[in-house]
Order: sequence, then C-alpha cells, then structure tokens
Amino acid sequence: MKEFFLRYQRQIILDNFGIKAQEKLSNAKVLVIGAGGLGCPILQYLVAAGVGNIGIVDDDAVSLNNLQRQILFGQEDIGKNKSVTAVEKLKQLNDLVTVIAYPEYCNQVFALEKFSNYDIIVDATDNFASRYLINDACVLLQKPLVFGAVSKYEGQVAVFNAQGEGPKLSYRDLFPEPPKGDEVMSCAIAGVLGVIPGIIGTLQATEVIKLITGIGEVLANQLLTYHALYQRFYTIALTPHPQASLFSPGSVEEFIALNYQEICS
Amino acid sequence: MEIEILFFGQLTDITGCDAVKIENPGTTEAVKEWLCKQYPGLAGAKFVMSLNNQMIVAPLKINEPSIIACMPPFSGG
Repeated sequence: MKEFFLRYQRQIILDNFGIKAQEKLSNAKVLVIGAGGLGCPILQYLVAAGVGNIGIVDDDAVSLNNLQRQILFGQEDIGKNKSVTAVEKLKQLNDLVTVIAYPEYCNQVFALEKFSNYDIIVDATDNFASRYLINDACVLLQKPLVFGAVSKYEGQVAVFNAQGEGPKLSYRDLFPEPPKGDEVMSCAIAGVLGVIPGIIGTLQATEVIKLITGIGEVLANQLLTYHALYQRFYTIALTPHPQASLFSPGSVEEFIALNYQEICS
Repeated sequence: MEIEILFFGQLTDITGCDAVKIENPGTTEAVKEWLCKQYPGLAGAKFVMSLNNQMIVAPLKINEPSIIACMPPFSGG
C-alpha cells in the first residue's frame, strides 16, 4: 500500500484527482488495439499511471523501420511479436498492474469475445479495415472508443460512443463509408514524423484517463486535428450523419458477415 | 466579404495550400462546388466539411466572418 501512494504520489496530490481517481484507474480495464506508433506511448502512460488491467492486441512483429517511432522497442526486439514484447517491457515499468498480450489479429470473433471484458477500447491501429471493424464492434457492444490516427505531420483524436449528454456518435458519423483502397495514403507510403504518433497517442492516453476518472471534459463527439508544422490544434463538433446507420451493421450477424478487408480495398 | 477555407491532411496534396480566402458564395453547397471546380482532385476525395467548427451534413447558409474546414480521414498509426 505504501508503494501505491509513493508511486502515484504526483497525480494523487492533484486537485480533483486524489485517491478516488487513482482507485478508479486501478479498477479500470482498457484494451489497446495496435502496439505500434500510437500504441507504444498509450501503453507506457496507461501502465505508468496505474490503469489496473490492460490488454494489448497486435499480431505484427517489430521491424527496423518501426524503431523511428515505436519507442517501447529496441534493436534486440526486431522480429519479435509486438504485443508480447510490449508486455515484457511494461512489466518492468509497473508490476502493480496486469498487462496481457493478445498476439493475434483483431477480427470480428476476437472483438465479440474480448471487447465485453473491457471498459474502454483504444484504436491504435494503422488501417481502415481495422478501424471500421473496431468502430462497428464498439457501437454494437456499447463500448466507449478512443480513436487516434496519423498522417505525415498531422494527427486526429476523437472519443466515440462515450456516455454523456447528446447522442452517442461513432466514426461512421464522420465517414459513413470507408475510403477506397488508394484514396488515402498509409504512413508506409506517405510517411510520418516519429513524434506525431507520440503526441497523438499521448492525447489518446489523456482521454482514457479522463474517461476513467471523470476529470475534465472528454473529447466526446468531437474531432481534434493536430498539425506539428504550425503547432496548431483545430477541433470540430460532430453532427449525427443521416447515412451512418445505413452502412453500420445493425446486428452481430450483420457484423460477422461484413468483409472489412474487401470494403476497405 | 471573404470567408476562409482550411484544408487538412492529404487534401493539401491536391490543393497545394492549407488555406484559401474566397468571396462568400452564400452557402456551403456553393463552397463545395467552387472547391471541386478550383481543385478537380477534391471531387473524388473523401472529406467532411465544418462551418465554424461544427460538422456539416446538410447545406447551410454562410454568414461572415466564417471558417470552413475540410477534413479527410487519416489511417496511419
């Protein structure tokens, strides 16, 4: 118990935080999908802050060109699975929390089986097929979703499906249908400055902490865009999209039947 | 009177700039038409528009001064 107070002392002494918020963090269950550029800082800060139960989903292996931005990993980790390696590193950071690796792809079956065990889902993936799948699962299972995405020198953050005033909006209210395969360049093609996922991931971790503890105002039903070259933030409020429900699977059966790889290619 | 239009993400690859000022054409629909004429690449691009920081899903009248933002989806992580 003494270690608990000492470890988290800097945030426990904060106004509006205290032991109450710290205990909420300890009891929280958060699933982070993707242990890449966004996932690394999200995981480091959530584990450091004392989020009690964290799941990490990633079937990918560490490669040399990941190290420019995926700061949990070192050269000795090249070739190793990201979620398993992340768990090893994070255990060294804080053994008061439980961190579990799921070294697999987050498909519909995984989402339906595992999302219910967590309070908050964090999208730290790098492709539209995963993003739409995770979004639709969160809508079906009524889970708050903390979204982050990056492109070149910019990034986006949003909180969907959050409990609160007004309707629960989702990524499909922004973009009801996924873009065509070649319409939006991925970071593998367009590039990304290494600090961008660091900044956006840290903003996502901040929203997770706010959702759990109830401090401040969550970025619910808003889209924040950050531009590093001008150090500019721009936030828009989302509006319910009349076509959102047209393209969203309305049931588990419809969700299972959707081919996300196909609709995003 | 002029209004300002902001472009985000890979839309700037099409427009070649991140902001432009134009004479107020009156409605958000007219802005969209002007954009697609001025930057034909935008016609096929996916993006949402906001008027003074509120996302638009139906045409709206534009009062001055106003800022319109065009936001594309980002996929990277």
